[in-house]
This record gives sequence, structure tokens and C-alpha cells, in this order.
Amino acid sequence: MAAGKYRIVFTLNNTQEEAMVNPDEVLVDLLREKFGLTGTKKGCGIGECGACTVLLDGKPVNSCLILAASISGKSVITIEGLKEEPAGALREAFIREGAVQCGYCTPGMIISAKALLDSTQTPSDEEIRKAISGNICRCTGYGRIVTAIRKAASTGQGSDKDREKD
Amino acid sequence: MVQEEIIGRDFPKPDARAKTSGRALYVGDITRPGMLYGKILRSPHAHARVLAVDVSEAAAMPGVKAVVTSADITGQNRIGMTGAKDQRVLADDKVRFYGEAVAAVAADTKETARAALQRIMVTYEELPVVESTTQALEPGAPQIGDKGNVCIHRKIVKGDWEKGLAEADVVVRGEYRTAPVEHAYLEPEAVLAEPAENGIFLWSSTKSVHLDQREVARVLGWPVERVNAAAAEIGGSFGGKSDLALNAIAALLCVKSGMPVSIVYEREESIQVSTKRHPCIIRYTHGAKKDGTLTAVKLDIVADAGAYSDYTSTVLPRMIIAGAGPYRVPNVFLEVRGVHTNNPVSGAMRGFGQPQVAFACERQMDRLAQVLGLDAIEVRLKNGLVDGDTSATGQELSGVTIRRLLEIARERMARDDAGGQGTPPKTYEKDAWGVAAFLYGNGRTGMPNPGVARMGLTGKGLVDLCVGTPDIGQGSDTTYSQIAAATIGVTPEYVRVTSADTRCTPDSGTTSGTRNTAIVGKAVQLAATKLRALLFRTAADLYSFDESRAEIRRADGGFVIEAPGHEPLTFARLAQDLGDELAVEEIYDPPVTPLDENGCGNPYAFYTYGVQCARVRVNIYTGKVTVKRILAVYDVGTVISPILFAGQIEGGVAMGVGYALTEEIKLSRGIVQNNNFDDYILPTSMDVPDVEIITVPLADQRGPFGAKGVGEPALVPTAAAIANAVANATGADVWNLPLSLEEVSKALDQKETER
Repeated sequence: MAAGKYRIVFTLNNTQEEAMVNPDEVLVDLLREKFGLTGTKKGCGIGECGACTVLLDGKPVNSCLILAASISGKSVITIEGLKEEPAGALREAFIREGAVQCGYCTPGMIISAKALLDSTQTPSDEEIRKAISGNICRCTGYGRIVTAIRKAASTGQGSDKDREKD
Repeated sequence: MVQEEIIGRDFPKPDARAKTSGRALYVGDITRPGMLYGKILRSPHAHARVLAVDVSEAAAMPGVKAVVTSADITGQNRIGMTGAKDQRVLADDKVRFYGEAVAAVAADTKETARAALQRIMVTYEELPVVESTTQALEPGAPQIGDKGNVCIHRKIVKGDWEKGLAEADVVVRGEYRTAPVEHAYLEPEAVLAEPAENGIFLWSSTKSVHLDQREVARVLGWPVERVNAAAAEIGGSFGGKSDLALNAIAALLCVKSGMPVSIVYEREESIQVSTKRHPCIIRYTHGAKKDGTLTAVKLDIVADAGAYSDYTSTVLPRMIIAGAGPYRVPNVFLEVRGVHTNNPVSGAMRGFGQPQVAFACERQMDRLAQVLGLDAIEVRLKNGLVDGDTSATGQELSGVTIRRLLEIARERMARDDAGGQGTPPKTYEKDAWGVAAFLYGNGRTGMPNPGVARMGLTGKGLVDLCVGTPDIGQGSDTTYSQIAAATIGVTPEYVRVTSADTRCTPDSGTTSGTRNTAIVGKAVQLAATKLRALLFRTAADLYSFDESRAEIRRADGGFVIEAPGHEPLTFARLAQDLGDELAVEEIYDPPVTPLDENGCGNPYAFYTYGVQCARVRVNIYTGKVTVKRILAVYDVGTVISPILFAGQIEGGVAMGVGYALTEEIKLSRGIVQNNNFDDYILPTSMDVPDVEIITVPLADQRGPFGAKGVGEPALVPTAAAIANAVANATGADVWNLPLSLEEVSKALDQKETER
């Protein structure tokens, strides 16, 4: 039944998409259920845990708090669509440093980290901790996640310099 | 490959890559064609008689494919994690906690399922709600349990505690209280039940697929073989994550509708109905000589079991086994009662009762030191167990390292102090260290709990390892692959681990009780030893070479058996030629004995020892506690996987910081008042301190390559160390967890009043 539904057109992982959404439908459900992008996790539904973090026009948001009807004309990047560096460096660092245990927070963590590194090339540990303070991890105690982000930042920077040399 | 290149080295967790890309599938991510959505109707009362349930309207709604109540249960409507099967899948006579399942619906959309719940008419007769153990123990209190309100009463008696207290120069008494807390695994409970050939199949987020299988089969009244279960990726467990009622309800809906049924909890539902860490009232009496030598310990614990038994019968004995701490005490009387109330069911949570006891016991040791004018480490060193001592249960101990760990802790704290402590405290802030020591038996308490491992070669020549215990994210599959590889002589990437699938893995017990590394890992080592020997023997027979001079070495594209005068035999070829003959299975059941009526026995075969030191800063105006630093000094035997080990300690400390300072399930008439993460406060990246880990390289006599477990030991002493640090910083006694702003302020006020 299309009555009461909204048509939205938006960019999802760099591809233009459209969908009919309910007025009360939230972005996380749209992503998971209509687009099958289950890398975005649902942990609390009230914007406290950060497992559903995605980039909305480049900024990290809790997709459980965003009405799907409000994203027309905007760009959404989920963990599946996170391709641009330092995404690869972050993934490798998370794996290597032991920043992944149960992994349920991991997509949201990586999205938050990516947003941080987009704005700050060499963040301090304090800045990293602040950037992921909206992402709850119950397994790792955060230390390894902070290390992974710091190391990914320094790798990313190295590759930038290399590119400059070329 | 030599052992040293594998044991004590880090290898990537095989699940990590998919988890960083978003491809990893958790139960709630799995869909099936025609899949229905299940929703559960839950009791709006914590205690009530269920007089009638009318589902006719709901069942008639378009889109509703099945509605179930207790009347649909074809087997037994009784489930439980241990032998006490007292919990209902769906309420029959009564509801005993708020949110207990009464009926369930499967429909083609979530919205329809939710709407259908509102059309189910339940008639209740409300009963008085028992909100506390004190109330439950009053004469004439409403009886919650099938067998009364006291569901378990255990004691450990050694020597004569009254005589011991009479001989003491000082006696220290204290009454401590701890709050119920939530596991808060980030993935809420989920299950997907689907029709399968001759039965059903469950995708479960669980710590034991075999327990799920048995219990669901019993509820359906089916032979076990008709139910199978496998774990998808598991988003954390920490002792929880076996919601048997949830799995059984999904199974009932699946059988009734003939369709796949998915149920995923919302966080609020998860926090209301999942099990909690037992809240306790702990009364201690410690007696000691002037020099600090303990003469007696008396302990009386009353633990709130909540509405059903769940793990209470195994959590509570552990509390008193650890009741004397890692100390030699000639006279003990340690007693615990588990009491039913209409609160959420208490279950297993990381530490199995010991974090509560460590908090109270280690506060007692500090208070004792204070009364005697002794140093906190000194009084622990004086009493610390040594090799040949007997524990409270009369078990003779060996490989005891607690004194050594305490000495290391003392030296490291001194080194920290000499190095300065960063920003100095403001005039209204106080800094201090606090210390806590413990021992932790690995595995289930005084009962058989075999680890089982099955091994062979895959068609491609990989070592094929099957174990029943799920990897709940902590990395047990990786540790097993290292143990198998180091034993056989290959590298871990040549070991394919399949865990937690009843269709192909043996029942290796649950992933709980710190049993994976030492117990299941030992079974893996035994199976690998057997497979290696079998490989050599059968290959030597078939290809006629001298078995005694053969060896396994790496070659291009894999591993080979090489023997003098013979072409190297690749594992792939061996798998083709010998495949079926190369199946081995080994069982390791740790040598333990049950405790007798006086609590005498050998409950565990492995003990992990540890000391944590917490450096805190307390704002004496607001009561805010900041944990600046944790030193974690551990004897876990050989560390198999350093990063995984450190991940356990660091994660355990974080959970301990929450337990110490902010986490508390607040209840009113059995209803959780803070059922999401806005009010239930978990530590964030801003709250968790630096953790420095120090281990002693002492291989255990029994463990695989000398390894012992760390999952729960990581958490056990954290809150105790923080509480001692807060007391040291403020000079105020603290009695209750969590040490919230209010609690610390109260302790400071109390100190003022006493002055």
C-alpha cells in the first residue's frame, strides 16, 4: 500500500537509489531490510551505542535516529560502501591490532574512525577517544581500537606522502 | 614448524576480515524466502496467576501464520541451563517475572506480528510481588519457586571457625551489597528457526548449540536428532546469550507455521528478560593475629536468584569456593543461599559470582590491614597460598603463584609512583592505589565437563578441526588452530576450524567458565597428537617408508610428510588416499571431584591467579571516580595468543570499571527502570584507563602447552581493586557496588559524621 509513503531519491554507496518509505521508518531499517546492507548493525535503537553509524553527507550519524524520509538528495555511505582510503588501512589495522572481537561494533567504529581521519590526518589518542566515544564496545576495552586507528592514520599519511613523491 | 613459531605468536582471527567489511552475518542479518517475523507477548506483571489466554482474534488476523501458547507445547514446558528445569517456555500456571513470555505470534511482517500481540487476551490474577531476598525469606512470604524460595543452600566447612575467631587478636566484620548488572553484549538476542529435512534447524546466538538442541527437542517432544543448531557470528556473550525460551518459542512457531521464523529482540526487551549477574548481600567476618595471619573466615552470602534457577546452582558454589580468597585460612565457614524473588532471573555472567565475592573479600583484607597498621600488600603476602597448601575445599594446590604476583604488583606500583602520575590532583581531588588478588578455577565446578575435539584432513589437505564450543568473538577458534598446528607441525592457516554446528561438531560443552583454552584446548591437543601419529603410521604402511625417520615439513603449496628414500607426500595426496582413515576424536575431562556436604573436594583442575592494581582519582565534592590506570599481573600459564590474551584482560578491565562505578539494573516491582543504554551506563572510550599487563612465564602442568584460561579472571578483581583505591583515596569505607556519585558521596558523608 503506497498511501502515506514517501518517495525518496538518494545516493547510497555512490549509486543513486530510490525507495518508498513509511513516515516513521528509520534509516537503519531501510538499509538493512530494503537494501540488504546488514553491515550496519542495530544495538539499541535510541542512538546510544553507535553500532548503526553511517556517513550521511560525509558526517557520522546514528542511522537509527535518522528518518528515512529525510534523506532525499543526500549521500549515505555504509560499511559495505566504504572504499576510499583510509578505509583499507583502517580495516587492516583493526585486524592486525586485535581491535575486532565479537565484531558487532566494528562497522560503526570504522565509520566513526574514517570520519575522524577525513578531518584530522594525525589525531592524538585523546581525539581518537572522543571520536569513538559514541560507539560502545563491550569486548575490547577500546585500547586496541584506539591503537588501530592511530596506526591506520600513520599508514594513510605515509601513502599520501608517497603519492606526493610520485 | 616448530612450536615456538606458533605458541605465543599472533595470527589473524579468521572472522576479523568479514567483520570489518560488514559481510559477517549475525543471526539478525540472515533472511529466508517466506520468512516470518516472530514477536513475543510478555507479562505486564512480575507475579500473577494466568487464568486464561485467548488467541482467537490474533490467530484470525490476515498475515498471522501462527500463534502459540503453553497449550501448543508438545513436549515439556520446562527448560533450564542446569539440572533444575523449572523455567517455562511460555507461562502455564503463573508468571514469575515481569516480561515472562506468555504467547507468541509469527506473521509476514513485524508490524502485523506486533499488532497481533495486542489482540491476544490474557486474564491475570495479580499476586504479591517479592522484590528482595529479605522479603522472600520472611515467614509467610509468597512462594516463588516450585520448591520454595530457597533454591540452593551450600556451605564449605574447614576447621573450627569459632575457635579460629577466639584465637584472633582482631576481628573485622563487614556487610556488602552488589547490584544486578547486565551483560550488555552489543548484539541483542536473535534466533532463526527453519524447517529442515525431518525436523528443524536453528541459527542461534548462543554459547552452546548442543544445549539449544537438547532443550528445544525436549520442548517439542522430539528426538534430539530432529533438531539441529549452528551459531552464526555471535555478537558477544559474557556468560549470557543462551535464551532457551527464545529458541524454543521460535521452534514452536516454525513447526506450527511450517515456515522459517526470525525473532530479534529490541534492546529494551533484551535487558528486561535476559539473565543478570546475581545481586548479593555478603556478610564477612575475618579473624587475624596481630601480625596479620588469618585465623578464621566466616562468610554468609544471600544471592537473589530471581524468578527461576537458571545457572544459580553452579554460580553460587563458586562464590564460596573463592570465599577465603587466594589465602591460607585454617578455619572457614562459608555459606551461600540462593533465593527466588520476582526479579529478573540471575544467571551466569563473566566471573560466575566471583567478582561479587572478590569485592567484599578484598575490602575485608584492606580493612584488616588498616586495623593492624599493616601494608595492604604485606597482609596479602603474609597469607597468600603457596604450593602444598590446601584450599578452603581441602584441595592440595600446586603451581601457586599469588605471592610472586603480589611482589611484582608492589614493585610495579612503586615504579609508577617514582615515575610521577601525570597531572597532579587539584585540591578537591584525591589519588590512590587499590589492590585486589584472586584465584579462579577453570571449568565447571566439581562436575564432568569434557572438551571434545574431532580432527581429520580436508580433501585439500588442510587439518579439519571440529569443536562444539562456539567462538563468541574472543578468538577461541584461533587459539585452537594454533594448538592443533603446533602439535601436528603445520601452521595455523592450514587448520580449518569448524565450531558450534550440531550437524558436524561434537558436543564440547558451553563457551563459559573459562574452559575453552585449558579444557577444550587440551582435547584439541590430544586429538592433534593422535592425528599426527596416525598420519605417520598409515602413510608409512601405505607407501612403505620408515615411520620413525619421517617428518612433517613445509613445501610449496602446503605441508608434506618426508621420509628418507621416498618422494615427499603432500597432505592433499594423503587426504585423497587415506581420507576416511584419518578421523580422530579425543576427549579431555579435567580431573575434578564434586564437593561433599561440607564443601570438601577438588572442584577444579586448573587455577588462574592474578592481581590487579587500580590507580584512581576521586573528586571529593562530587564523588566522581576516575580510573587512571590498571596494572594487571597474571599467571595464566603459557600465553598461546598474546593479542587475544591482552584483549581479554583489557575487555575484562573495561567491564570491571563499569561494574565498579556505573552499572546497575534498577528495579521497581520487578520492572527494570533503565532498560536501554541511555540510563544503563556502560563505559565508553573516555572512561577506560590504560592497562598494563604483566605475566609470569610459568607453564601449567596440565594445560595445552601449559596454558590456562583468562576470560573471566580478567574481570574478577577489577571492581575490588577500584573499591579499595576509592577507600584509600577518601579514607571512607565503601560497602556497595556500584560506586556511583551518590554512593561515594554517601560514604564521604558517613565518614564526616563518624568524625
